[in-house]
Order: sequence, then structure tokens, then C-alpha cells
Amino acid sequence: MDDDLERKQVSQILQGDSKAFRNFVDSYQRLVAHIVFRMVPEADREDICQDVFVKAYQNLKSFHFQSKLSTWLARITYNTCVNYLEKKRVPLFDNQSKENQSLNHWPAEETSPYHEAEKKDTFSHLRDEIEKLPVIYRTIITLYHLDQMSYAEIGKITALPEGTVKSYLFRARKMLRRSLLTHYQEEELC
Amino acid sequence: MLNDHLDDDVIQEYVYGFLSPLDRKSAETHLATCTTCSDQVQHYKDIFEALEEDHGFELSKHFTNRVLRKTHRQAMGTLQFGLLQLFFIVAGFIVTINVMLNYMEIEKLESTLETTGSALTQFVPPLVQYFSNMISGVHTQNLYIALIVVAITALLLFDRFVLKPRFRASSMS
Repeated sequence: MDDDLERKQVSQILQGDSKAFRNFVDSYQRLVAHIVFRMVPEADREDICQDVFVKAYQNLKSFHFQSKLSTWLARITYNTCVNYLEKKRVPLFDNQSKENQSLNHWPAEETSPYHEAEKKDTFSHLRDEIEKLPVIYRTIITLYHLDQMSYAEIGKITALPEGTVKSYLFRARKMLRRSLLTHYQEEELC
Repeated sequence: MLNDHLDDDVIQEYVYGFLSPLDRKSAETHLATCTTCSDQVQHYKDIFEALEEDHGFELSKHFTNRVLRKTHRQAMGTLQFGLLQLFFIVAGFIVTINVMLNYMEIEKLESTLETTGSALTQFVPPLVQYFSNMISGVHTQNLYIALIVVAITALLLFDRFVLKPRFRASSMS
């Protein structure tokens, strides 16, 4: 959405136009769902998504277009999820020791017989593996790959330097590749 | 170069198309002869494809309506809270004036107010006199009870016939 349209939409919502707010929710619910679904457990996802839009509605007055509306909303979403995880005592950077192990000890890469028929299984395996990544990695890969956000935008959302965002992104994919190799080896053994 | 495998980050950037033309050419030369790195490229292609799969993020069908209802409820709650505050201020003011008139002599009140400053005393006595005249002949307690009842009734009617229908209409739209 371009800047003028965003400004128009925001001003209509602030004037109490419920249709404009409905459009806003419809346009951005996918982005919010991407972040929330990747960061929090299943049971509370929908409630958190609702809370994000309620917060956005309440704080829209304080949005002065210093960033894109999507970045601003994604930041609210990220912070809401972080607060939720803090209450539940879930660390953003869990699995760190496991991660270091996995990055340093690659399984042997002898063969990986690959066929199109196995793709579905591979994707399903990868989906499960994404869920096992540390929360911050899941968030970053989601924003980058699903929402096509830049390192700078992700940095604004997560309050991390661009370099750190990039490094986490590469590490997350590396961890996925390692789990993919293990998966292929297990398949070979079967 | 042929025996030194490509760096993992280089392979990721190659798959994503972020390498410079020169680095890309060099990577392609290596990949033409190295099955290990070629496999790695294929793995990353799968990973990238899986990461871009927009699947499993569905919210319930009535999500938008629920959000709208929630925001309206909050807005109405704020307005009702504001009205309640206003009611308590008005009721408090009425009660205070009536208690003062009931239990204090007007002269005593005037002398107390005189000490707070001449400007205030010039303004307040006529005001007190005005209230005093207004309620003369009416039993004080009955008057303030009646005023509170009128205020509550007005608020309840306003809530029942103005706020709630407006809320229902806007949450349906």
C-alpha cells in the first residue's frame, strides 16, 4: 500500500470510519497471523491477534508515519508476543546450546536421493523443524520470507541491529538444513 | 577451489540470487563439478520454498467482526466510564452544596470563604445566595435526592436508547 493510501486509511479510522478499520484488519491480519502463529502456542493465537488490532486501534493516534504502517503494526505484534512469552517464561533464544551443536556438527553429506514425490514429506518435515527453532529465528525467517521485509524493517520490528538480523537469518536456515540432512539420512536407513 | 567447498553463507546467497555477477560465475563453475555443494544448493532451494509457503496461518472466519466488536465495546466502555465520572462529579457537587447549606450557616460559609481571598468572596456569596434562593421552600434532602434520581434516569435512558443502539448498528456494519 502506498504512503498516500496509508495516510488516507489512518485518517479515516481516526475519524471513526468503521469500514476503514475493517479494511485495515482485513489487509493486515495475514501479517499479524504470520508473526503470532510463529511466536506463540496454538491455544492463545487468535486472542493475541485480536489484542494486536485493539492495541493498534488505541494507539493509531501516535502513529506519525516514521515507518510503513505494516512495520509499525508488526512491531506492535512482536512486542505483544514478547510480553506474552515473558509472562509464560518462554525464552526468545531457547535451544541455543543445541543450535551451536547443530551448526558445528554436520551429519555426513554422502547422498540425498531426491525425488519430487518426497517433496511433500520434506516440506512437512521442514514445517515441524521451523517450529523447533528459537522464537527469534522463527520470527525473523517469517518476516523475511513470508512478508518480504528487508533486514532494516525486521531490525526496526525486533529492535535488533541489521547485522544481527542477517546473521540470525543465515543461522536459522543453516539449522534447518542440518535437520533436513538428518531427515534424509533417517529416510535412507528406513 | 574445486576441493574447497563453497561457504554455507555463499550458497544461501547464491540460491537467493544475492551474489554479484562475478561471485555467481565463480560459484557456478564450482557447482558444475562439486556434487556436495550442488546437493547443498538443492537443500536450500527446498528450504527457501518451504519458508515461503503461506500455509497454516488461517484465522477464524469471523476474526474481523470479533476485532470490530472488541474495539467498539472498548470505545463504548470509555464513553460510559466518562459519563459515570461526569455523573459522580455532578452528584458530588450537588451533595456538597446541599450538605453545606444544611449544616452550615450561610454567614459562616461566607466568612470562611472571605479568608480565601477577596476575589473569591466577591464571586461566591452571590452564587451561594442564588442557590439559597433557588431551593428556598424546598426540603433540601428531598431536592438533592430528586436531582440524583433525575441524573441517573437520564444516564440510563441515554445508555439504553442512544449508546446501545448505536453500538449495535456500528458492530453490524
